[in-house]
Amino acid sequence: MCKKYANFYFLQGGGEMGEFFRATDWSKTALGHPESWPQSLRTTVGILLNSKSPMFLWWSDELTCLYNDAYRPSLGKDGKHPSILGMPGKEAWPEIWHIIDPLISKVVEQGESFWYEDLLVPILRNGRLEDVYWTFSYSPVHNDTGNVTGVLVICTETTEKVITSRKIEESDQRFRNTMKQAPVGITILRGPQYIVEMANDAYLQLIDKTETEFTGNPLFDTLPEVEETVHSLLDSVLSTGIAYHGNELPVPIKRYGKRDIFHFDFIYYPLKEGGKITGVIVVVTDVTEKVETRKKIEEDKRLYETITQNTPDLIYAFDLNYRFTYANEALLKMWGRMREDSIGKGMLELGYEPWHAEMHEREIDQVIATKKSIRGEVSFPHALMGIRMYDYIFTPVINEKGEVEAVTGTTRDISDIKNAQNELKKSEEQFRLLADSMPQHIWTSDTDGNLNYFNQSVFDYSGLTPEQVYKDGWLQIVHPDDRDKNIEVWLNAISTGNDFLFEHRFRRHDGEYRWQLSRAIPQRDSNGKIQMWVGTSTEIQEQKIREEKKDEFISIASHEMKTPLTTAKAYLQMLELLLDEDNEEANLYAKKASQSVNRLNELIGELLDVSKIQLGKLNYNITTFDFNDMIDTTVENIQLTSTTHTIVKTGKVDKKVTGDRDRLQQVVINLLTNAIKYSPHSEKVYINVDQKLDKINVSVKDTGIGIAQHSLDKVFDKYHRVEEHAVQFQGLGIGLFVSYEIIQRHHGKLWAESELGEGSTFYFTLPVTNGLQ
Amino acid sequence: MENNRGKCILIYEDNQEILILCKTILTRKHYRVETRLRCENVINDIDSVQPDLVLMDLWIPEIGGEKAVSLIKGNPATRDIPVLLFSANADIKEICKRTNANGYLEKPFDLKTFIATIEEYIK
Repeated sequence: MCKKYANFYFLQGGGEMGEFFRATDWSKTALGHPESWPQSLRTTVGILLNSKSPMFLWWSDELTCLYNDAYRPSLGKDGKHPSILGMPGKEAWPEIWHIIDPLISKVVEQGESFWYEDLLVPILRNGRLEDVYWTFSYSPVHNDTGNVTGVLVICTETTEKVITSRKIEESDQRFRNTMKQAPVGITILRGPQYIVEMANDAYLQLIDKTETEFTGNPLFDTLPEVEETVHSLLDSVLSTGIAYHGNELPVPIKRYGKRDIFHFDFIYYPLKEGGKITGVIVVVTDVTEKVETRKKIEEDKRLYETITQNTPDLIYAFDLNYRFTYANEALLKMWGRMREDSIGKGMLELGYEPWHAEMHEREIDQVIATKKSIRGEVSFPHALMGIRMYDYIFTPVINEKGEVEAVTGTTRDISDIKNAQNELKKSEEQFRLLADSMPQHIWTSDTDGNLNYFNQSVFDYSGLTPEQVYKDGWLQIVHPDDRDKNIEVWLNAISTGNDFLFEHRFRRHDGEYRWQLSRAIPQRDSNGKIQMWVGTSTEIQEQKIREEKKDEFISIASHEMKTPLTTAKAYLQMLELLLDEDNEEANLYAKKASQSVNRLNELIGELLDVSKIQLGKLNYNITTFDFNDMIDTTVENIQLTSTTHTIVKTGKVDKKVTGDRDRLQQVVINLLTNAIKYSPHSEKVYINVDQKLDKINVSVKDTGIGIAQHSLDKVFDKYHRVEEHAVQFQGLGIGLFVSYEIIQRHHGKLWAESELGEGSTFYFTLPVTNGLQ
Repeated sequence: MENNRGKCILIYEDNQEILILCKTILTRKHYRVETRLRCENVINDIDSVQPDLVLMDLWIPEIGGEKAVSLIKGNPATRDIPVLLFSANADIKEICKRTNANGYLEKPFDLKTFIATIEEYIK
């Protein structure tokens, strides 16, 4: 076949395609035998076959397909090659003819050439329709007469280039997307103004700004608060091109509506373009939470260190091999050791006796096994204080997996408490022994007034069993008539903390009620807080009967005495009427006798009052009256009978008082006459009245002999008198006793202050409204 | 003083000395004085004496002054006669109220008060 076209120079060479050209029976194609090919076709084919550029030629009206070796790969394997050689174009490229035909027509009709770059022209090759990109030119080939007879396509397949650049673009986009969604904050700053080119979502979130307000603007226009901290750092990166790594840099930022210091880890990368640094890439992580957490942990650690190091309790930790991993100061002191000699050591090494170490090791085993605390008491020799008693507790430290990773312990020195408890127990036993052997009734009560202990005497006396007394209460022993008052007085003592003092009748085992004097005093702790009450009840039946008889006697006797007194007084007054006015001496004697009779009458009156108070028969005539008027009248009356003293009254009360006017007057008389009596060398006594809120205060003051401190409490006792001057001053002190009773009955208070040789002041207060009717 | 002449005061008192004293004082003031040592026949006494004023001791046999006053005040025939309690009892004021006695005289008494009180209450 080669010989067939041997004399056609333009079909020589051309590699494989040359072979095909030469093997083709051209006479069976539209081109006809090469002999008939025009010169322009011959020349073009010659160029085509011998060119290393891929070329394709469509020739004449049928657009017969001709191509060279370089073009072949574009047709792939098992495709159009070599069948389309010499085939009319329309038959060879049916799948893309609609694309090619207009191009060819354009070249043929207009005689112009044109070219395309990276044009997608899918072709059937390698057994399928492939996307193939081409850069190609279409040029007209003129025939010998100057008409366009062929179209030469010189083309390069750019599929690979196009796919590569598309891949680059995609990866760039992917990178940008990745950056945009990266969990770290990224921003790119351009130029010395640090214009924000882009910022990812994380960055925007970090600074609490939107993309529109942040990107495109100079950084410090949007975040002026960070300028001081970061401007110089950015400048340095921009000028030196050396990246800067920042760690936990505190930066003040205004976000979420408030300005605060936040901590950031960040990197400033220089952005190099064309060998020049044109900007900075910023990569930031907000580590504020991490920093704050660490600070909190450090703070907590300091706190715990301080607590554990300074407490007197022993605090320590064991690892799972019973070795100490921590010991506080108190424990080291107890051991008498240095920390470095102790940590990491086991109990035996630290001088614990084997039984002791063994016991704790078993306890630690138990704590590890049960994951529960264990508590115990043990004695141990303290390096300085000797054998002490300790209360300890071991507690498991449980890790996040729920396993015990260590065991901590705290130990408290309870020697003092133990001793005190023992002492208390002992003294309690002694108390009970003592109490049970006493003939008196002894009992105790809690702070609420509930009686919780009775000595044996109570049971012996009442004939009741302890069960009966504890179950049905002690009140069953008390005479029914005395119960209400008993409860009232007892509750009053409980609520005020004042001593309880009460006379009442107890039912004896034989059913007889007999008088008792009960007294209870509160036991207070060092702060003055009441802990309990201790009470005693003593039988006073005999005394009571004697007293009743005595009071009865006084009552009768004083009444009897009044009879001769009545006659004496009247006769004296009648005698005075008969006396000659000029007989001064006789008049004086008569007057003195009258005064004595009057005084005697007063004394009898007071004696009667006392006996009535004792019998509870002192009557009160309650009215509402002008207190000030009562004081003035009384002062006036006393002044009339005193030639030695002037009574100086100060103050005033404008409130009305409800009470027994005569009895209160009796009190004022008593205080004033006492003041006069016990200040023989003075010329004045003072009475002051005033009112504060709903209380009336009265004070009676003298500058007389005064009362010794130890006697001051007793002046209100029955029959007390001021002993120091027993010889000089006669008279029973029952007036004060009566006064005291009267003021108390009015729910007031009467008391005295005095200094020996300086004088005394007696005070009483009265509530304006005292519930009396 | 002259107009006291003929006015009669009935005194109940078991103590002779007091009786003598009162009689002395009142007689000097020209009153007629009747005395009784016991009080249980008080209504009869008044009926026979027809006093202008009664002085009644409290501690007096047989029934006691308080009861006796109640009898006087409880009887329409005698209740208009003024009665003064006459005692050393400190509760005389109270008893006075209780018994509807017209007034009282405390023992021991002041001479002037005694006379003034009698004059005040006598009919």
